[in-house]
Amino acid sequence: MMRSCDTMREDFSALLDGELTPFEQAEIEAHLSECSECLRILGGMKKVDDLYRALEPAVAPGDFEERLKQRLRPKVRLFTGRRMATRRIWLLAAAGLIAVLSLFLMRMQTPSPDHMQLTRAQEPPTAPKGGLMTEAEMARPMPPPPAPLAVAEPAATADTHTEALPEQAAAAPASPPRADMPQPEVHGDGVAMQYPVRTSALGGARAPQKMPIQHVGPRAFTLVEGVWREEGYAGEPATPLLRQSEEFHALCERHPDLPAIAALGPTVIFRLEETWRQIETPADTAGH
Amino acid sequence: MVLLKEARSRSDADLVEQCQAGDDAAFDELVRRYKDRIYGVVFRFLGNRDDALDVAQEAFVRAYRGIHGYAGQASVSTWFFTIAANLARNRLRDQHRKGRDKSASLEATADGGSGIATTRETPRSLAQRRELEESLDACLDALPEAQRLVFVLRVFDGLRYEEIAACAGCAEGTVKSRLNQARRRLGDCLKARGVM
Repeated sequence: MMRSCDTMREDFSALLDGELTPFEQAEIEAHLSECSECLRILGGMKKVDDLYRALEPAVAPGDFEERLKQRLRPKVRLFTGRRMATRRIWLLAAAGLIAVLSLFLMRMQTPSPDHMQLTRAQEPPTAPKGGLMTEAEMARPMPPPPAPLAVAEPAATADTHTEALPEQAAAAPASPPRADMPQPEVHGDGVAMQYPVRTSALGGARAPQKMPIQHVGPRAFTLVEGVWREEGYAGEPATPLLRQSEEFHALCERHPDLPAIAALGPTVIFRLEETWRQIETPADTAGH
Repeated sequence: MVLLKEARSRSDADLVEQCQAGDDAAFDELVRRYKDRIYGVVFRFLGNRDDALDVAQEAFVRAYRGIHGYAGQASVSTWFFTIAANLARNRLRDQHRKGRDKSASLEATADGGSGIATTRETPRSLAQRRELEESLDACLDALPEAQRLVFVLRVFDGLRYEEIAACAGCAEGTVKSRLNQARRRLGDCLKARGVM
């Protein structure tokens, strides 16, 4: 059965391109010998090919390979070629900038020698991690005191925390606790010490000073001139209470936290049964 | 020089194998072999010299980076043309989005770099040639992308249908059909412009 002109024409491109089998080619050629319209269409298609093939081949630019190498292996050519000088200048400038920035940062992070001494001697455990306070930070007003301390376990000795030996703290300023002094913060089951930053009379900032504070249950004690004073004490007369006295033992039975208070130091002023008491060590046992 | 001669005598497959083993000179030889063919096809497809250069270069860059993934399932030339065809189609879509710039194409034609081959031309014949080239460009440009790709691969590079099918990602029957349609459309277009 002979194919129609339309189906024959579908193969014209394949005929021009030599993609037909010998049988298919013979079949079309037989048709073309009888069909002038198909022959005209095929001729038109061949003319199209001839016109486009007559165009001069587009050839890659002469520097194609050179450009490609630069795209493929730019590192090889980083310091060669015409742009070498420019690149070198930029690299040097960048290196210089990095060096200046590094020095600046090192200077910012390295304290002066006297500052370092102060820091080693006096920096509190809770100082900002990883660096010193800047002068601007030190001069900043103190934040308001936090909410009153709430300690869960008022046990006699387990919840006392000593951050500095009394003798170390002997140089602490002889003044009552300041109203703006930050209160200890509770972390888990313990108490963290906080130290205020003192400001000089001229307004300049100083290195942080130690103001040892200890807690016995909910009570806070500050070491002033070798005497542990309970918070709220303002110099009122305090009734002496000798250690190991009968009264001391009797009070210890009624107040389980008294031994822990007495253990704070040689002399402790605290409030007991609406009066201020001062625990003192008998002369014959002092120093033991 | 000996190395260059050796490289030139090797097959594409051998060069790819050497390149996979880290021999950059082997890839350079592959580039030397295929740069004009790839560039020529891409230029005819895109109609813009700058884009053609960029796409052809990018095709070789992709081939270089992906050389270890080439397992010989297609010929090296088909592999190169497939990469180039995909990149060219993407570029063509970008061109359509941005609005095509034919200035580089016209410039290329004006300096005789890619026009019809001639010897000495009179001003009149030069003008006629430019007019013809513009018509050919315009008609090719008017073809749908898929038809243009198969036409360019077949007419300007002579790839077989099997290879064109691999590059275009379609069946051989589709290649035949698209080529047929492309030639008839081009014929109609060129007749309308008085070229045929």
